Amino acid sequence: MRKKIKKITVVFAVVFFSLVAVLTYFSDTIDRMLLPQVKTCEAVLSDLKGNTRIYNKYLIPKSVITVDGDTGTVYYAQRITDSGDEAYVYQLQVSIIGSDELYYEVSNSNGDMFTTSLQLIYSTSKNISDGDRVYIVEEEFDEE
Amino acid sequence: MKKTKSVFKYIILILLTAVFLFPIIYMLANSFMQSGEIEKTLNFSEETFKSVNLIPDMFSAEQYYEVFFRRAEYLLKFWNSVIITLPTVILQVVFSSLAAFAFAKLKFPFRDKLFFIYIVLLILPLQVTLVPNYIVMDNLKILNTFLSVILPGTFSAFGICLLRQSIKYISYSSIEAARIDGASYLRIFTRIIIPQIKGGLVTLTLLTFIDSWSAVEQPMIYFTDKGMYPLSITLSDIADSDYGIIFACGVMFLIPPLLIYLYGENDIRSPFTTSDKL
Repeated sequence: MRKKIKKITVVFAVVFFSLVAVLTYFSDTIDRMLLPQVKTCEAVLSDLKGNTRIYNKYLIPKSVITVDGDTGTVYYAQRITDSGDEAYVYQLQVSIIGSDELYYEVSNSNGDMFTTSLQLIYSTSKNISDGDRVYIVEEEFDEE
Repeated sequence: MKKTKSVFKYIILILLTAVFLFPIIYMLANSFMQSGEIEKTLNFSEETFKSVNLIPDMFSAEQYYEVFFRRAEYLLKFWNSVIITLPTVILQVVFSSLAAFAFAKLKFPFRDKLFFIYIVLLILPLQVTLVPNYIVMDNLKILNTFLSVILPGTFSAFGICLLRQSIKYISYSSIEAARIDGASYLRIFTRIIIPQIKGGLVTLTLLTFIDSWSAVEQPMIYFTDKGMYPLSITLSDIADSDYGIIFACGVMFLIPPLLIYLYGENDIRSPFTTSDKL
């Protein structure tokens, strides 16, 4: 009986430590696979008429925004490190001024700072919410 | 009358067991709760227990999923604990057994006076030696390395005292017989002494493992890089950690000492006597 307990203990120890070692070694890969993958774009300082010499009016693609009356919600990704592709998601409220087939013209709302440098999320592989961690995927364009 | 006494004795024992097992059962139960449910019952920031719940409303492996798949920092801290503990245990057992053999069976000048100094070291609390050790580590330029925690843990007065008592039980006649047969002291140590102090070695291994595995003060003082902190510090840092994850980490943290105990359970029962097999 004692010998059996010893044998089971050794087997369990080997399995436990091997499992933890494998999970640690592949932790970055596993974490990246499980994170929502998002694609981002930047806003353009302009209005729908094409005026660029303006203040606090931005054009953003329609896929970026969730509209609710005269306001909308956008999500942007802020990279955790400058060179890494991992980021935290933050929510931002904007006021909608107008729209055409492709774009919404928006401005700052409730004191939120909207700038052209924000990485606006237009596509995500999973549902995201404020404060989530995500992985930014670079858009691949055909050379043609 | 005898039966009533026996029942009363068992009731007391069961109650005592329940009291000692409560923290482990509580940790296990909470590790299978969802984070929202744990936050409902605990509030460490206000230092209040809202309620004690040992049965999860909804059984969930969310905390384990977070620890093993999403939060690599806890796995890395687990390995930091292993890196600190494993060499400390191995080296301490080796050095303590050699020193204990010398103090118990070899004859050399000032032997008993030196052993008295070891006993004095045993009485010193850990906190007393932290600052002198820090200065030594600083001079050796090994601060903020794992060696700064491993080295002081390697030499233990307690280990030497424990093993010296075990070795004292071994008769001089077997050692003298081996000497007559031409065996060196190293051969006597490995072939005669070690097999007979198995219980003491396993006891020392387990106690050193638990001591080193749960070290908090030394890494906090000797390490400036928080990435080198062992899991024991994270478990005690309840203010900055996620409650649910702490419980799951606690279960992971509990497994290695438990495995060592189960492995050496038979030998640990008799640290001052010879092994049952002999």
